[in-house]
Amino acid sequence: MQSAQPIIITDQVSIFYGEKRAIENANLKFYQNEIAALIGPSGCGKSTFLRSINRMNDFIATARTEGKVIVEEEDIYAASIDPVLVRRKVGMVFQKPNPFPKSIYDNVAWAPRKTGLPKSELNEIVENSLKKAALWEEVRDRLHQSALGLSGGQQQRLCIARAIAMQPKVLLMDEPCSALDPIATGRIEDLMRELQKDYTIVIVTHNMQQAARVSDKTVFFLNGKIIETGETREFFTRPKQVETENYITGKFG
Amino acid sequence: MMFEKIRERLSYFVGLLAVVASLGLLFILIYDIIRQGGGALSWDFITNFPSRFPAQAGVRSALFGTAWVMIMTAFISIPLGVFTGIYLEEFLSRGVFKKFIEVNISNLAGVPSIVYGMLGLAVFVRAMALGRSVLSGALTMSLLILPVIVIATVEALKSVPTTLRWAAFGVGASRRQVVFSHVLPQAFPGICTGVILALSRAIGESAPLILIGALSYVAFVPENPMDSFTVLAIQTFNWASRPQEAFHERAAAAIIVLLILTLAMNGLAIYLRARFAGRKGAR
Repeated sequence: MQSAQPIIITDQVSIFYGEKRAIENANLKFYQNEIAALIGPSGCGKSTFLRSINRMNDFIATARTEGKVIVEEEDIYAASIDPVLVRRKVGMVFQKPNPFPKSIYDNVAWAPRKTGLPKSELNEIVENSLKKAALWEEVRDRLHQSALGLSGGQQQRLCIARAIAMQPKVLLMDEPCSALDPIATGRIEDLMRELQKDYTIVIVTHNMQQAARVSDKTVFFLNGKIIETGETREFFTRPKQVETENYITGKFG
Repeated sequence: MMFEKIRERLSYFVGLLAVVASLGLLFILIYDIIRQGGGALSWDFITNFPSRFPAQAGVRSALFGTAWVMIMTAFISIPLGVFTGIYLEEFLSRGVFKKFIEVNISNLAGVPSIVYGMLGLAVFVRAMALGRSVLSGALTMSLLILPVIVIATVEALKSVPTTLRWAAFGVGASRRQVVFSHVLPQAFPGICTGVILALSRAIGESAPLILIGALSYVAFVPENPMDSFTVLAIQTFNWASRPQEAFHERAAAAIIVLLILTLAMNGLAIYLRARFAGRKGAR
């Protein structure tokens, strides 16, 4: 599955909130079509790290990032980089479904429309994105109704459709199922396997079973440091570090 | 347990009493005004110019003056105030400068209106030589309500959830797009309400306009922004300070007209709020 060249490289990434260091020297590589799960106890910095990959930390006034995050051979923290363009290449799905308070159609079409695409192409993008997000059949007859009328699980799939409408290379997911019931969670997990064919996915999850089920690679964070990284099956069956073993066997966290 | 219940009941009655007292006073006031001025209210009262004969005196010039001042005030203060609020809340990064401006705007909102009148007199009427014109009046009124509009805008923007901003940034929207396509439509009902409430405060103000020299006897309708003018509040003040009983009746009638205008504006605020809140998410 993996190509030789990583699509994301983080090189000595440290992230600070004011004086406090939330992430310390994170060195990771993510490959094309890989699903990587970031796990760890609350407050370990995994979400902070995730947000550094599409510069969403820019909106937290006190946050400061050091080191390099390279996406497709470009340092996204370089001065010449427009963070808006970074976020078009690296899409994001948030913890709580946050559809725009607009119609289902407009949720998906809004961003591509702003890049100046004609209406005919927009219809196609909306249909394709909703199909990829496994939502098309459920909403095709009510595309112009409010997205807020959808169930939580449907809203989250709409958010996924909205993210892939921009045809990103990478999808970041920040605990995308934490507000959903088990059935909706199952659908999103199936969907991730499907999306993997076209995208690289980095997912933060609280749920170790979820990490074991969906990911190819697992990264374990503890107190802002990466303790262990490994191929998922290997990681859960033969952890190399004591902390990892303690965490996955439920001794803490 | 007993005490808990008594306390519960007591706070209920105190609350009820406060509501009854304030509403009761208001109703007595309105009743009294209608009783005094209701008889003087007629179509002639609306269309007549003021006169030294109470029976012929009307509010035509004051009504037009009020309309002139309010419309111009709206045109000056709404864009200025709303964009200031947007800049402060959405574009200016947190820091000492922002704090400084915010504190000052809050303070300005509490400055007595007569102080704005003095400022208007010194700056607009004299220094800028605009004279005792509608324009001077509108500029002064704009200054008076600007802080209120800025604060209302900032509060309305603050009430838009951060997750909506993240959602928009997450799909590669620029800050301008996030603000104007996503945040502003959500904040719109709140901003509308704030703006209209600010304008209805301005409509009842007389002190700053008296200070800048709005006239109390104007027997013509202003035709351009440089004409002199009077407004309903000043006309009322003038009639109320006359010795003749008949003029007091006119004053009460003018208050009724002013109340109807204010009520209409508040009604508009409620309507806009309901309409846009209902439309949220539809498109």
